[in-house]
Amino acid sequence: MTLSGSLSATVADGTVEFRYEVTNDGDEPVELQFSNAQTHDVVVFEDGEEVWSFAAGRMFAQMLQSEAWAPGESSSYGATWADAPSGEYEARAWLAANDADAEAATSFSV
Amino acid sequence: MVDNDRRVSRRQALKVAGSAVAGASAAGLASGEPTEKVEVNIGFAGTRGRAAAEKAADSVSRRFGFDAITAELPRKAAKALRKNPNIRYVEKNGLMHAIDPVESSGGPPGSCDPWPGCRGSDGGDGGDTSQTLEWGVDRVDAEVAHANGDTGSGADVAILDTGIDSDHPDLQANLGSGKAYATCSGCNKSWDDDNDHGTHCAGIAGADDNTEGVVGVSTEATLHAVKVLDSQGSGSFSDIAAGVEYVADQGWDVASMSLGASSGSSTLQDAVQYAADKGVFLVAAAGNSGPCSDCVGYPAAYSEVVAVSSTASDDSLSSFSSTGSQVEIAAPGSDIRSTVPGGYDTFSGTSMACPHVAGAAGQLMAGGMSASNVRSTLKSSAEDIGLGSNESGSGLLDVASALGYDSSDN
Repeated sequence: MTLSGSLSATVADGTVEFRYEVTNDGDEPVELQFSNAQTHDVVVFEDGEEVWSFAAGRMFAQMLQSEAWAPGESSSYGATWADAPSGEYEARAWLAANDADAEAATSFSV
Repeated sequence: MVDNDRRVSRRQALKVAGSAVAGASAAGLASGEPTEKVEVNIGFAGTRGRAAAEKAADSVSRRFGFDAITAELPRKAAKALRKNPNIRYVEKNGLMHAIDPVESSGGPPGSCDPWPGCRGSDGGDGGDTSQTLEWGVDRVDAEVAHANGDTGSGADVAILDTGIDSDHPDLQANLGSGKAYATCSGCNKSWDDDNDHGTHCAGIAGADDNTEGVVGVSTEATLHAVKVLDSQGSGSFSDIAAGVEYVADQGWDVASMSLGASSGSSTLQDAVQYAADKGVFLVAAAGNSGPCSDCVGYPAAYSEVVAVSSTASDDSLSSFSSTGSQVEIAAPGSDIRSTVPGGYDTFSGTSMACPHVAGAAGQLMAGGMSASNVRSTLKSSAEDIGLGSNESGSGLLDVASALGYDSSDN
């Protein structure tokens, strides 16, 4: 699998905007299947304990989807954590696809 | 029938691991500064419970007809409220803010057909000049019901989803009223469909029997759009619970929920109980976590809700279909062609199986049958297709048989 991920967190007024970018670094096209409408997740940890997740508290349409990346192509996914308490955090993001994760991580403070 | 065990996919293993982590802090209240505000759903008991919840809340964004509210309050107050014996639960609500759209140069995710050898999004197959009987509607023998004059006319079927296209020629004659709890971006009506999913499900349950496109399991049942999912096909627990409550308060017959998650919500469970008590037939997609065993998602796994698994045109279980003891019935879900805004498209999922059952329930309730009778009738009339009970429950949906027609030759 030639997909790589990168995650950035931008903090403003207690709201954290995550941007998770997935890029096909290889020479071949990559296509992934998703079991439902959830394309990705972003999970925030504080001292190793999960404190927030994009997907927790939500439900998703139960329809299969696919997404394709040409060589060098990127996709960007967002998530917003509103009213984040101040603290030091680590965030991890991954694709909710059946056969790839392209996991990425970043640290940030609020 | 015996259970057929299936291997647990890596994705499912990941999900289980993920939810275990989530479970440790499912409340989302475990850490952070005590004065920071959190948005939670609070379930209470009695007037003292209601008073305690209201008093603790800084602001209340939603008061349900059952004993729960959605409120903002300091983290410390939320944790304290948990200890009150008149408080049944305090659960974190999903984020209520808009999610950034997927920006993929490969275009929006489209259909995935056939699973698992999906090829890129096909953008739909555009218009169509003559009406076709799609395999799913044919397989459940809905056309036998149509031939006998059963249309579902008079039944109210709510599609709790991404909305319904307000001007689709194959749906317009059957559209009732709409209600939106999720925002629709760039839409004519607040309950319009900015995704495709809801319109697709609506067409399966009840596309018009006319000269074009497709025909639904019901053909004249009134379809109500209850928009609880956003353009990305995602919705918060509170919004979905509000949609279920709304359906119950309208006195509608059927609530079709082609949505789910691997973990449940006490608020949504309260809402489905409230709706079931008011006589709503509740049906939901079992989930697409397959191949897997004992993996039915929520709300399908709630006892008030009929969980629907998915089959392919050869009567095999769809490889993506979740299975488990809560599955009550199976219906077609692989490669289903139906309506989408601006045309027709082919999608796969337990999302597509669910509205086959919703349309069938509409057919029965149009004749005055109660929700509980519909539930038992659909199960007792289902066709044994040789799958395990954890895979297909009582069997494959048989609309003709449920209505008392002989469908053995169809």
